[in-house]
Amino acid sequence: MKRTLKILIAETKISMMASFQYRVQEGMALLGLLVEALIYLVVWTTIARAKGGTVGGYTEGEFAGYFIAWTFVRHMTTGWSPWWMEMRIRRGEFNTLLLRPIHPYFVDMGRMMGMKTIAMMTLIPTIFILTLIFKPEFALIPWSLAALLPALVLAFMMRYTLMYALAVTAFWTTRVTALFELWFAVEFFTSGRVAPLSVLPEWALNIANILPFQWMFAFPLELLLGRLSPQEALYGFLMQGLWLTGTAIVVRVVWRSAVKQYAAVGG
Amino acid sequence: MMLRLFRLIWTFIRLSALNELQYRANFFMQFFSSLLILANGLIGLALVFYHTESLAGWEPMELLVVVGVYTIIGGLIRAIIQPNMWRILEGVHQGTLDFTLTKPEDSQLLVSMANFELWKLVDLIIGLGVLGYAVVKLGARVGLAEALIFALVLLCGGLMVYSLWLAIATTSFWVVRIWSLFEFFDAMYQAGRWPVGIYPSWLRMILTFLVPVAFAVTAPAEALTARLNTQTLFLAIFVAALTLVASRMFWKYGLKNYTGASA
Repeated sequence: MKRTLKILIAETKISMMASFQYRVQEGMALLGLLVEALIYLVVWTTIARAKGGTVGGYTEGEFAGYFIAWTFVRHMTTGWSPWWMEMRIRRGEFNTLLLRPIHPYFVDMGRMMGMKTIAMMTLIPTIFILTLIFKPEFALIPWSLAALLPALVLAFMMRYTLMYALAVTAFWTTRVTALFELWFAVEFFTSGRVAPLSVLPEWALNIANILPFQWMFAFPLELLLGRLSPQEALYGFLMQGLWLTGTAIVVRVVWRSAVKQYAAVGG
Repeated sequence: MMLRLFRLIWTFIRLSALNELQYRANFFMQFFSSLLILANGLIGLALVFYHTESLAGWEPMELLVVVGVYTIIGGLIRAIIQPNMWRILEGVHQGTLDFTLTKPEDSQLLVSMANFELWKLVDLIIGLGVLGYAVVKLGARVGLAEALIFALVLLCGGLMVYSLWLAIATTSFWVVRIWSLFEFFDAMYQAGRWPVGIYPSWLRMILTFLVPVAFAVTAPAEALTARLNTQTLFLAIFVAALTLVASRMFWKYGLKNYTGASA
C-alpha cells in the first residue's frame, strides 16, 4: 500500500512536469471545456429571462453559478480519453505497463492527478474572470464546502474506475470507442452536464436516478453551490460508495481474465 | 484547364475512397457515433423546448435547421478540410511536403484536395437528412429564393472556414507546432450549435471574425428561415472572397520562404 502510494506520487510529479511542457495543448483542452460551459450558460439564462426569472428552480444568477462551478467540477472529474487506451493497446505501448510491478490503474491515476494540478493554474484565474463577467449567485455553506473535497475525490474515483472497467474490454476488442461514445451520450444529459438535473423532464430524471452519472458530477457540483440538505448529502455519499465498491470489484475480477487473454500487439 | 482540374480532383477522391473502402467496419462506427452526437443535439433542443416555445426568437424547426447546417459544415470540415490541413503540418514536420511541391500542378490545389476521409461524410448525409426534415416541416415558408441564397451563403461560409484553416496551416512554415490553433477552432466551433445571436456581444465578435461560425452556420440557417438581411448576405460574399484571396497570397508567400526540411 505504501509502495503504491509512493509510485502514485512519483507518477503525479512526472506528469506535472510533462504537462507543464505541453501547457498550450492542455490550455486548448481547457478552452473546449470553458466554451461548452459558456454555451449552456447562455442558453439557460436566455430561457430563464424569457420565462420571467427562473427555470427548474434556477434564477439567471444561479445558472451562472452552476455553469461556472461546472467548469471546476468537470475538470476535476474527467478521466483520460478512451481513445488513448485504445491507441496504447493497438501500438503495443501497454505491454511495458503490464510488465511493471504496479497495476496500470495507479500509474494512469498518478498521471491524471499531475495534469489536473497543472491545469488548475489556468483554471482558477479563469473562474475568477468568469465570476466578474457573469455575476453568479450561490450560497457558500461551510459544512457543504467541507463535504465537497471527499465528494470530488469519490466522484473522480468512481468515474475513473467505471471507465477502467469499460476500457478493460479493449483487451477483447480493440474498438472500445463505440462503448465509450454510448456512455458519453447517456452521461451527457443524466449527469447534470447539459443542464441542472432539476431542469430535466420527468422521464429523463427517472433514467438519471437509476444510473450512476449524477453522483459523479451533479452531486459534488450541487454541494459546492450549497443546494443540498444534509440528508441529501448523506444519501449522495452512500450512492457514491456503493457504485465505487461495485465497479472496483468488477475491475478486479475482469482484469485477471483480461490480462490472461491479452495478446500483445506490436512489441 | 478546368476539365483537367476536375479530373485530378476526381482521381484524388477515387483514391481516397478506394483506400477507405478497405475498412468498411469503420463506416458503421462512424455512423453510430454520428447518430449519438445528433441524438445529443436533439436532446438538448428537446430540453430547451420543454421549457419555452422559442429561444431568442427561434422556433423548434428553425433551430433544427441550425443543427442541420452545423452537422453538414462539421462533416465537410472533418471529411475534407481537416485531413488535408493536418497533412500539411505533418508534411512540413517530416519533410514529405517537398514531394507534393515538386509536382507540376498548383500546390494549393494539391495540398487541399489530396486526402478525403470518406466515412466522415456520414455527417453530411445525416445533416442533410435533418435539414430536409426541418424544411419540410417549415413548409411553404422556404421558397426557391431562400434555397438559392442558402446555398450561396453556405458556400461562402465553407470557403471562409477553408481559408482560415489554410492560413493556419501556412503558418507552420515558420512555426512548426501550430496544431493548438486547430484545436482552438474545434473548441470554438461547438458554439455554432446555437444561433450566434444568443451569445453576448464580445463572444459574437469572436464567432464572426476570428472563427467564422456566424457566417458558416448561423447565416445559412438565417437564409433558409428568411431572417437574413441583404447587408449580411453581401458581407458574407465580400468576406469570403477576401479571405480566399488573402489565404492564397499568404500560401504563396509562405512557399517562397519555405526551405524544405529534407533538402
